[in-house]
Amino acid sequence: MNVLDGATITAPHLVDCDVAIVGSGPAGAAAARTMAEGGLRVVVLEEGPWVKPRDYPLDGFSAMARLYRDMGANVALGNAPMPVLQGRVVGGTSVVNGAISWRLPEDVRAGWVQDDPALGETLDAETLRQLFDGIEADLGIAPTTDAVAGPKNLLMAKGAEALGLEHRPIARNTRGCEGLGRCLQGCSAGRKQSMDLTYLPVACEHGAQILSRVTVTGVETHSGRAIGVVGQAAGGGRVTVRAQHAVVLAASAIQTPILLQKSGLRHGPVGLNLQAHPGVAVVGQFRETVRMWEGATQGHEVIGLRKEGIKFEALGYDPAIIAGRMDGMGREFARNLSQMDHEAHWGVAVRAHGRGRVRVGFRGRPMIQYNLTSRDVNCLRRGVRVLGEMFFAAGAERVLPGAHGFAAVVDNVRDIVRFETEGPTRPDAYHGAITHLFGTCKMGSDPATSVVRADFRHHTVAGLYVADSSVFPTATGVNPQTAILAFATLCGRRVLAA
Amino acid sequence: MNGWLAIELRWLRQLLDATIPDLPERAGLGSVDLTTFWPELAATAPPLLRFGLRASTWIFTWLPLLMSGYFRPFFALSPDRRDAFLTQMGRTNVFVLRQLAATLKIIASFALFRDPASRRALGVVP
Repeated sequence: MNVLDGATITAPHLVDCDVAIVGSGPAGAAAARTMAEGGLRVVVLEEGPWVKPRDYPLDGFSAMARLYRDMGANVALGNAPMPVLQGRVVGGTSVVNGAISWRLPEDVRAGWVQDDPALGETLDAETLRQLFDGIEADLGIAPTTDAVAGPKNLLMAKGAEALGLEHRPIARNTRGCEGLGRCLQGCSAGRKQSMDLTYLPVACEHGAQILSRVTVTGVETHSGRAIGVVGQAAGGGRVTVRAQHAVVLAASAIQTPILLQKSGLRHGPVGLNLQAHPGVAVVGQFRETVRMWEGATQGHEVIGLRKEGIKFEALGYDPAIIAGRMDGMGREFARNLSQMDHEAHWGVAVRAHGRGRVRVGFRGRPMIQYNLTSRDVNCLRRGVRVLGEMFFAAGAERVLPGAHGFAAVVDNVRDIVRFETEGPTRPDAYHGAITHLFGTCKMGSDPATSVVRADFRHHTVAGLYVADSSVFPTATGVNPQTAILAFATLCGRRVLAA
Repeated sequence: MNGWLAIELRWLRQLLDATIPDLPERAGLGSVDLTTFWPELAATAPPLLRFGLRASTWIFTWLPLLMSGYFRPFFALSPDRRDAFLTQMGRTNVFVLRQLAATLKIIASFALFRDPASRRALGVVP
């Protein structure tokens, strides 16, 4: 790949190109590939380093320190403070996610078009279907096989089947998965088809250049038109990228609105309308060994309640991460650590109605505010109950709901069923995390209620586009990577056609 | 840790060691060398986490002095009382204290499972 490490840039550095893309995750990579293949000179700027799979750290802490933004410890403040997990590395979050691949559900797409018919042309169902076909072929997206699933995933299938809930192996963007269980630390075997191994190399084959370890600090405009970006390289040099054709922001639903705000481009509800999929994990303890850090990281899902905005996934982490979710302090905690290999963690994610905002905070850092609604908490209560029932149906001896104010350990189905009605109603009783973010540069036809048009163009600045999930009008209720890839490809096509 | 006093680091180490103490069947964090852990943490932890860790250090070191049943700073407590105090903080209804206890637990877990010997003891390779 044609990657220039910003650590080597110690003096002012000027680059001329047709299109500057900020961010190298799924959105930036798909846009870069599309436009580079279309003949444009593309430069991709990425704040994180380029790390090859063989160099991914093997322990959870070092992986989070090296590959995640803010060590995975950036927090959305509000009525239930939760960590916000994002990658910061060439390839973006695709390097550290669970490789879960979902097409944008038709009911979600249709709802967006119904709310704003102007989106219909861009989000044409047949166009998206063709894009999804192509993406699935490009990235080897296929259901997880039993051979690499490991106990935690197979137990979830057993529990869901016993309860009569619709479930299936998760379709993932992997080729030759070995079931190492290290998706969230970066696949050291290089099996996950993350952007640094797929779309970015294709873009580079067509002339694109990647500037890693360069923090973009502003979008440059002249006479109402975006003409490039400026940034700071890790080596200390100031980087200026002059873009003759367009600037494409693909830095995530957190960083993109922050960059617009820092650049003085505050048109419309930029940074508002933050939506997400908050989730919590429930723990099941089994007599048999589970060793949840082995087998496909996230290989099974229960989708029977998706229409209610509730989705369940098996989880797999490094022991360093698992431990933080375990019960107790002191000797009790130490004893629990000894039982770690008998635990499975399954998660419930909610298509939340909660809203939040992103704005520039102390020392220019993003300040994220996000509040769960009572309806969201009720979904979590229902989700914890169903996960508990699934655990017992799969043979668990005990379930740890993980909510303050309810029994720490439950050893029978009757008590876990009570969680739906008697579980805590305070949002801060739950130890959750946010992994999917949307809506902070919403796409729409009305400049008063949206930031970009239906064709990804900024409403007021010519030559400026947004390609990431910040343009999604709402949360999708499913893992968004494949939809982001499709949207960014469409954005790239629009830039080519402009 | 940049900007930390030596005594703060000592207090933090005592809190972390008590968060994952030695058991007869299993070594705790006290036996792990954290020499290379601190610089990596200092270089990457965001401001809010650094603040939380420092707040945990000060609050949990001195709070027992004011609490019935302890009346001593954390470093002057016996191992049993340290254990009782941290357990109480992990279950308190005061959200902020619970979060600070969770912060300690997360950092202690990061430190423990960064150590190859601790990983091997659990059967994680490497």
